[in-house]
Order: sequence, then C-alpha cells, then structure tokens
Amino acid sequence: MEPVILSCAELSTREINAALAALPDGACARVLEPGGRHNLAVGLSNRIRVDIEGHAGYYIGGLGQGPDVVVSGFVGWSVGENLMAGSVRVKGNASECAGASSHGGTIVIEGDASSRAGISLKGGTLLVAGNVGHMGGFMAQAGVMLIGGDAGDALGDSLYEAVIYVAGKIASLGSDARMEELTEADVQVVQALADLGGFDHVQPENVTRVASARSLYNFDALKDQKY
Amino acid sequence: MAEGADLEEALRTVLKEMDGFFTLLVTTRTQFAVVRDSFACKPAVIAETGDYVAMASEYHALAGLPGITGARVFEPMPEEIHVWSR
Repeated sequence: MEPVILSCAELSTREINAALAALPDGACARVLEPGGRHNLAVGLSNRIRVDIEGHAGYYIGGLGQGPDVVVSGFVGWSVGENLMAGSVRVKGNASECAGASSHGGTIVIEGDASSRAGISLKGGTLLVAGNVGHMGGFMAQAGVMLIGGDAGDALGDSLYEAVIYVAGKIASLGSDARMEELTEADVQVVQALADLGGFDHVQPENVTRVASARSLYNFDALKDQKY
Repeated sequence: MAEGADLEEALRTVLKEMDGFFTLLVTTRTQFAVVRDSFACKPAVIAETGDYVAMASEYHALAGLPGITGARVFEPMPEEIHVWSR
C-alpha cells in the first residue's frame, strides 16, 4: 500500500492526527515538514507505521497503543510519554523526559537523550543508544532502560522496581539507587534489548545494572530523630 | 559586573546566589550568554551556526531561521555557562 502523505505545512496537528487515526491496520503514513510541531501521532491505537520526516516537538507518539512511529530527526520533550504499546523510534537526539511514564511498548533513541529520560517509567522499555542527561530513570516504577552511552548525574534517583542498564560511565547515582551484580539473566535481557534497539556497540556482559536499594520504601518516622 | 567581573564570572555568581528554577539569557553590547539552574527544568534550545547563535525554549521557534538545517542544535546542560562574543 502506498503511504499516505500528510504535510504539516498544509494541515493542523488535529487534522494530521485525525487522518492517522482513520487509517486501517497495516497502513503507512509519511508526515512531512514537521518543523518542530508538537503532539504528532499521539493517541493512536491502530497498527500503522508513521514516518515523521524531520525534527519534531513535544509529546511525539505519546499515549500510543499500537502504531510504530519513526522520527528522522530530533524531538522535543516527552517523546512517547505514556506509551502503552507499539514503538517510537527517534533517529536523532531526544530532549527531556523521553518515555515519561510509559506503561508499555518501546521507545528507541538512536542519539542522546537529555535529562530525566524514563522519568516515572511504569512498564515501558526505553533504549538510548547514546548518552542520557541528569536524573535518568527518576522515580521509575517498572520497566527497563538501556543506556548505550554514559549516564549523567543522579541516575535512578528514587527508583522503584524499574531496572537501568548502562553501557558507559555513570556520573553519579541518585538517592536510593545502587549498582548491582550482573547476572546471566541480565546479560540475556540486555542482549535482547540491544537487538531490539539495533545497538551493536553495547556489550551485554559489560553493562552496569542499577536498581533500587529500597531504603526509601518505608518511611522511618524516627530517622535521625529530626521529625 | 559593575565591580569588574566579566559575564562568565557574573553568571557563576548567579549560580551560587540564586535559588529556584531558571534559564537565563543575558546579553551585553558584545556578548550573549545562557545559563540554567542545576535541575534545568525550564526548556532551552540553542542553535549555533557560523553566522549566528539563537536560543529559544523550543525548536519550533527556531525552525524558520535561515541555515537552521545545518545548525548545531543542542540543549545547554545544567549549571553550564555558555558565552558567545562578537
């Protein structure tokens, strides 16, 4: 099937998203001249492929439950936020909060991701080929992150049950995050994630596993006797 | 700066003294500087070419600039001071 062509130069965001939502499963669409436009391909539940050909703005592919969205450029804040299923792949860099609060599906950043990548992750998968900024995985509750490059300061601050794998260096860990021993099962998980992302520079047996130390799980009213 | 500090020194003082969330764009007659607080909660995007440096809160605002496709577009890191002079 020939891809449907939708140009941001001619259509409003609402018109583009309505046109995408009306496509049957298996269809493809090309979104042209995005010029940093926000909210493209959000809230879609059909199994379509959307190619956004250029740089895009905030919330790209957010709330998706089905489509595969590919951006040939960089994206603004919160790409794939609240993703439920399907995928969002960014061929460039991503700004802050990539994959924020995503419950399922896969978000792949082929470049770097800025600060707070994977904030409040709730079960989704976030794969970053390059580096991430500060506070990656902040308060992430479930799901997994693979960082193919280096992680900035305060990685995994206030983590719950999400796990973060880092192939490069970690500038510092956040509160209650700790490095854990890598098991054989972890290596297999990382291999599968690297394959999913198409990251051939990640050596699964050489990554660092970061998870919660769980010392913040229970509030200690007598801690330091300061309350 | 009235006491002799240059723009970068002055912004270092700002980082030390100012509390809360901020992204600042400061200009003088010949300089242009950007600095963000340690959390970098406020958005900032910089586009740099051989001809100009532009800053906005999001790329959308820069998308119409001449030569933007060849520009180096990046987000300044927290507590990093960027100064350009002409």
